Amino acid sequence: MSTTMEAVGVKAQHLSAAELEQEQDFAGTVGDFTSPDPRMVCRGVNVWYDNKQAIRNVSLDIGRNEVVSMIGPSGCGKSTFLRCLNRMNDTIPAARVEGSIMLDGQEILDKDIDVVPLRARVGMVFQKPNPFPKSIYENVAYGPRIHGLCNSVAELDELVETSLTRAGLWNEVKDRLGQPGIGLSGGQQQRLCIARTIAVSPELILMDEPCSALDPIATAIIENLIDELREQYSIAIVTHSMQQAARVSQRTAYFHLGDLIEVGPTQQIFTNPGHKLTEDYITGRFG
Amino acid sequence: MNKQHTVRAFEEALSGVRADLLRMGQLTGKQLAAAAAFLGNDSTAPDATAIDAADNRVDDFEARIEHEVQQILALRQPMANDLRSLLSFVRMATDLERIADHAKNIAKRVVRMHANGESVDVSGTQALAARVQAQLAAILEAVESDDVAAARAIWSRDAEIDALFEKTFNDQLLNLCRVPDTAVNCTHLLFIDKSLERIGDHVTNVAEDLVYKVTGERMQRNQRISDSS
Repeated sequence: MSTTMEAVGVKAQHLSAAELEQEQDFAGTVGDFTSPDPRMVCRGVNVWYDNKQAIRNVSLDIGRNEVVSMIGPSGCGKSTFLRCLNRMNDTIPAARVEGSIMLDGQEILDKDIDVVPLRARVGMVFQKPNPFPKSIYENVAYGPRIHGLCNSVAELDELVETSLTRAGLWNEVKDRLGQPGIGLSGGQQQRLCIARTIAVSPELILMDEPCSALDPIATAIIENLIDELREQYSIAIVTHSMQQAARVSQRTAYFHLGDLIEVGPTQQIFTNPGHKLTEDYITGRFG
Repeated sequence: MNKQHTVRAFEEALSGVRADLLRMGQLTGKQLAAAAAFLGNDSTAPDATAIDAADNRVDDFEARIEHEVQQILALRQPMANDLRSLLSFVRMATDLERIADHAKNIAKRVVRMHANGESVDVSGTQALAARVQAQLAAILEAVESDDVAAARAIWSRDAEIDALFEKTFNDQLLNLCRVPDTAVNCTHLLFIDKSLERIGDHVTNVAEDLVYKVTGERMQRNQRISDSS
């Protein structure tokens, strides 16, 4: 039995009869998973946690200046897939990733790749804001400093200001840059984390439920920021809020039980999806 | 067969709009049937108050459906087929309301024709009315069963109604010229013919909305309309 078959066998123990039937019926992703101007190209990505397969043969491009949202029920593999895009799964000993993920033509799954500069090129914003226990200034300056991006204090000051401005936070913190980052509100902390991410000039920003801990106003500010950041970066966002996916992304990918069921223009996915599983999920007929 | 919504209240709200639309359709069908029946039989003709009261009931349904859809859009944020269904239900309700208006106008003209007393040949208009009634009944049945194939067939058949309308209209125009003594009732018949033809167009709109509701495909709206009158 192949490794894949073993993994599916293990997974199958957790599935209902109906889910098994869906598994057997899965005949590949519906919709065009490619981008005309891709920044990241993922092909045949498989992920296992020990012998349990979490992602099966996922292919997806993330284009320049676009936001791709990944939606699906808990356990569908969307966050696992997101974590592949900057090798965050390396931090999990049981995780094994196969396939190909190319960032601007470079294979990032290559064992020889140094993940530290990779994670600067592919930044990540997490569900809960996680500023360093340092000042607001140091939170943003830390990355450029360790990556040696600035030659002088003046240059670093300018980069901190630019990053905080792009993250829409500068005017709120410019008079208290020396105060602790954790003293900011939740929404401000999340924007500080975004400023920290963009300070090292990433090509792609990954966001894993970036607004789930925020109130509606802070959420709206972050969503507006995502739209503005799109002009310079590519963004992949995992969200449980379908309304958020509809608001912020140009393309939407629906994951189900480790498969990429469907990907397409966001407006099409939410008005006329091509796969029954997508439709059942986004209309609230899940389970 | 669609799965039920996880949130039962959402499922009930959607079912409620659908049920109201189907009831509105039945009522509209009865209005048209009654108006057509008056045409050949003055003993069944109602008074203007009864005609208006019946039309008001249809108007109430349209307002109720619009309100229900507004509530669901605001409170449930429907997506995909649910969103298309609700948009389609509002549009269908608008077309049914227009159909009922035409039925009301037909009924009122028939009342005046009977009061006027001029004897005219109504057989052409009756034939046209029968075809239009059949189309309306068929589309309501298709809406009830989400039958896209039936909707497309009904949509295509509107060309036959248009052709029948043109023939009937032209025949009656000739009658009006030949027998000027019956000019008043002939003119009423011409307006009734036009109302029936317009009902046919509204039926095609409902057919288009049904296709959109089920498939997401937009047919060319009003492509069937031909108006040479």
